[in-house]
Amino acid sequence: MAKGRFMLQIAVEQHFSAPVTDLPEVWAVVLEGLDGDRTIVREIATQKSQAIYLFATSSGHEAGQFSLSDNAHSDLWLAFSGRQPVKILHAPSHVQSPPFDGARLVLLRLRDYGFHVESPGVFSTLRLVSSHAYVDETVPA
Amino acid sequence: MEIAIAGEGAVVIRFIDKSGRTLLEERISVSGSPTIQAMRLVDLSLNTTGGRALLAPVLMQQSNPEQRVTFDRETPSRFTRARCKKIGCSAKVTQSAARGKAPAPVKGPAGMTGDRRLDRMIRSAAREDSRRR
Repeated sequence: MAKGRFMLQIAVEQHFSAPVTDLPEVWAVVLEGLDGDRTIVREIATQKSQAIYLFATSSGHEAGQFSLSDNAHSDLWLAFSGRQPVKILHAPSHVQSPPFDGARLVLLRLRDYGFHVESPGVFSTLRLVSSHAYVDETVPA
Repeated sequence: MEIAIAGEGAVVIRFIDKSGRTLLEERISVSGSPTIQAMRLVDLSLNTTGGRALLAPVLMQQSNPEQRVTFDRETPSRFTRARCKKIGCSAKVTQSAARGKAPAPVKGPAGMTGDRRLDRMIRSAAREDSRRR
C-alpha cells in the first residue's frame, strides 16, 4: 500500500537572550517510513531568516570581514532495504525527480552551520531556518 | 542531546543555565502526516560573554498534545531534572524546570504561536467562530 502524496516539513527558530561568541549549528531531520513502492520527490526547498549584530566588548578593535550565508542547506535521503545504496537529493529542487523503486525511508535533513568569533568580539542574533519536501509514493503501473 | 519528536506540531524548548536564566529559546515545528518523526541534535552549552555556560533544556509548550517528545530517549521532565542537578541548579530551579517552567528570554516570543499579534488574531477568530455556532 503506497503512501500517496505527502509533505515533510521542519522549522527551527532560535532566540538568544544574551550576546554569544559561538553560534551552534542547526542540525535537524524529519523522516517518514515508506512502503517500498515507487517514490518521486516533487520539491525540496529551504528558507532562512537571520538577523545578527556583531560588536566588540572593548574599544580599540577593528571589525574584520564578516559575511553570512543567506541560505541553509537541505538534502533528502531515500533509504532502501537490502544493499542498495541511499539516494541523496539536494535542495533547491522544484521539478520532479526520476522515480525510485523500493525506498523504505525518506529523510529530510536541515543544516545551518555555526561559527565562532574570538573575544572581544560577540554577537546577538536570532535565526529561523526551515525546510520542506513534497513526495509521492505510488504503486508502479 | 537528542530531541526526538513523534507526530506533527510545534514545541518550544528553553535552555537555562544553572541560575535558571534562559539563554536560548527554540521553537521546532514539524508538519506532515500523523506518523512523521523528527530529530534534532543540540549542544548543551553556549559560549557567552560570561564564559561557557552549561545548559539544561526545559520543554515549555507543545501545540499538539498527541505529539511525543523525548530528550535522549527519556521523558523531558526526567532528563531536565537530572541535567539541572548535573550543572548545579538549585533545588527550586530544578523543580520548576522539571515542571516545564523557565523564564522567557529577553524580548523573546510568548504564547501559542510565538507571535503575540498572531495569537490575538487566532483568539479573536476563534471567539467569532464560537459566537457564530
